[in-house]
Amino acid sequence: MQFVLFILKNLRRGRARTIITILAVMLLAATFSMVWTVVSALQSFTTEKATNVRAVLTDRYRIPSRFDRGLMDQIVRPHGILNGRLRKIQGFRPDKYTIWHFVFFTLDPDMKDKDLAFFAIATIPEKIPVMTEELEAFDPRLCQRVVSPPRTHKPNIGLIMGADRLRKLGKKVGDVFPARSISHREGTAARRPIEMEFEVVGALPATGRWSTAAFMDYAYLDRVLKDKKNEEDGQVHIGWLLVDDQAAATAVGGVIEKELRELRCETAASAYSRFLEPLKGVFWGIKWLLTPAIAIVMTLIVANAIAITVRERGTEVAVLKVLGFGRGRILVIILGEGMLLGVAGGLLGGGLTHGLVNGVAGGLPLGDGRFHVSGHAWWWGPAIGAITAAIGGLLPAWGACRIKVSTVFSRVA
Amino acid sequence: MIPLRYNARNLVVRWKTTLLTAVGFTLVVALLIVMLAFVEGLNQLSKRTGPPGNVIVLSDGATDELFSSLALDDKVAELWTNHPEIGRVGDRPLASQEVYSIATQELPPDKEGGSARYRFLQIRGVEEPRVAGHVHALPLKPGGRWFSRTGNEVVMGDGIARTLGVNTGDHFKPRPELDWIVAGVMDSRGSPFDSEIWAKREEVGRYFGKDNEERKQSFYTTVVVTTRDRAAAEKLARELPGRTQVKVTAILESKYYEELSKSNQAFLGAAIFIAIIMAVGGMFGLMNTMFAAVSQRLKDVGVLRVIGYRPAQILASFMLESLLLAAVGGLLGLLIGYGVNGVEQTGVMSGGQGGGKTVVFAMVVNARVLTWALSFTLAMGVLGGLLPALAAMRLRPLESLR
Repeated sequence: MQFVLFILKNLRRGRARTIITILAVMLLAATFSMVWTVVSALQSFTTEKATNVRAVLTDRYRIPSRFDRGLMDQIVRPHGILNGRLRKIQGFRPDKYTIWHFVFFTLDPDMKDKDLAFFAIATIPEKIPVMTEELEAFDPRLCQRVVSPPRTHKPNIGLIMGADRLRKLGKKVGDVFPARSISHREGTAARRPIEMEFEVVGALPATGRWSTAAFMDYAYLDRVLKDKKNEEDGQVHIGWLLVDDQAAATAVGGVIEKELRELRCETAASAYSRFLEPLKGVFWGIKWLLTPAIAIVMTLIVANAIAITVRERGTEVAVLKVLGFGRGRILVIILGEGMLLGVAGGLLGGGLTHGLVNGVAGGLPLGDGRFHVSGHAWWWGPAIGAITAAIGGLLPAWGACRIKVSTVFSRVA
Repeated sequence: MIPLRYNARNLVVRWKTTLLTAVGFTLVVALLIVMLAFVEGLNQLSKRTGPPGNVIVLSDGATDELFSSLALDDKVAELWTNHPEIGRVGDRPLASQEVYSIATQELPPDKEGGSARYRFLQIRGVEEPRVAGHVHALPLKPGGRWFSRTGNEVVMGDGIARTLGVNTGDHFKPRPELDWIVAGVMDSRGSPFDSEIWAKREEVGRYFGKDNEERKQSFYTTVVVTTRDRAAAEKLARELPGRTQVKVTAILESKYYEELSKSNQAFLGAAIFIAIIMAVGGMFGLMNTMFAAVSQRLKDVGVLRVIGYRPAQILASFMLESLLLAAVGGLLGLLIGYGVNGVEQTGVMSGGQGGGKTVVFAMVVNARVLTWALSFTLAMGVLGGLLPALAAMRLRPLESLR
């Protein structure tokens, strides 16, 4: 306790330096928290899960992927031959599946304004909470409204849209509007864009990866595509299965790829890794160049501050030695000062980033999604602050321990 | 004026703090250059897309050719016939009808009993490869030839040929039923087509595109035409949607790739944001050093004032010292950062519709990047030194000497 008070008094004496160093560490800890948020989010996408594994089904050979919905039916329809084989696999759950078909719409009649465009996933509404990552807690009643919208009562025209996208489009829950498809056209010679009517029946959370996306009913899309003779009617882009564990995912994937040669079945983590492959170099740079560089700069700043302190307080250290303070105690005092600065700056940096980025900015915008700073930033910050301060303070503190009383006093004299 | 040597010697005397501060600057500046060089490399790539008179035609509303579909029917020829702006080679218009797609090539497992690996291949189906090469200004490397309408030949960019480890005459299988022979390798370094394989339009449409044989539906994703010059291209891009029954978007090819590279602007924004925060951190480090320098040289300042130096000169002296310190660290950072110039990287150009084009490009450290980094260094030096220099300027001579 005496030590802590002593250290605090020392820090208070050099108030300007204390504040400047804490500010510097705070800013760097904030940067570290933001960078690490992105790195850890990407890592979580590409890390295989042990249980409740999502398997993704795609066209084996082409991107954008698309395949007949009938293939998905063969997998999940009870009493089918393939379904029968899959049911023998422990961990396969035939009711845990969904399909996705991506559609790009615009509210702009001239189809030019990018700000009026939105991206919708046509799916089975009741499966949204069951099968969509981060939407497990989504209200199932809203999904029912996609099928039976309360205002227009027109079947299947309900739309659930991310809060961010609703705001950008100037729409709200209850609004009914027509939208033109950029990606899907009539199969007639005129190739006019397909127009569909929507009623917004719910909003996806403003936080998380779905803040700019939208979900619509696949039944509605399929009906319209058939009616307009679009080449993609009856097709889906992606199929999803939820199985118990990795072993089940491997076994299910093996059976599906053997029986349906046009499909590939792999875990979501494996698919994300492949899509992120072109950016491997960038992520490597962020992880192994940027993050360590931030830590090194933090270390240098604390080392500099402590080195200045030691140089200015040479006489004081000599007096402490005369009073009986051993090398160990002096080392602890000097290092303690540095670590206290590091922890304080790190706590402020990590905590403020968590509060400001999540609370004020609604997450870190990156691409179409928003990354949220993890609550762990409250300990990342102080931890990185303490570690860098300990490393940075070590040499100057060791220098203080080695100060010779006779040399200092001869200089003073 | 206080001699600069005085400041320089002070930095040498306090070499430990000078070194710690300068190394911090070096790291910040070097990182800034790496991040800027990455973005600059992608931007430069988007500018090397072919002749300035090229116009790219997509289906109405599409911003990425991956999501464009132009039905291959009796009307589609309207897009390249009877437009006086479009150049000709012999009796043919300089127009390339293309279908662009991404294939997933299955590779053998790494180890026996393992699962298959996959690799993305960017494939462009073209109607007439020679014309397509002319339109995109991509010649073949010596020994190669454009493939014919029959047979199973393809040509490919230099970058993808190196990635696949193939050369003229080699075979490769993008999917099990297709055995392609490389008829030529394009001299495509530094262009967005460096990672592409060009094959017959029918094969790409059938195996990798949206073509539906049962319904007899075929599609182009893209038509690229070459006009006389940029002015003619701008005129055609403006007027084409009104001249044809097919609903299209027509833009300059250079503008199309510029738009694709706009996704890099977000990266640039993030890079600058991170660099600024790091720089402010580094600046505080400098401020600490300079405050310490002032407090240790109170008597020096007093003497200087007594012998006639004015407060403004004291301010200038400490500011110069701060700038010198920043410059030493910053210049070292510039040198280290310059090391990434020309380093090949893979990146993605995206149109914002979820598509994207994987490109191999060289990172570029040019005058613009260096100017940015140098300005950054000097700004950090000025801001970091300002408060301590002001404190030194305000010192009263007699009090400083006590």
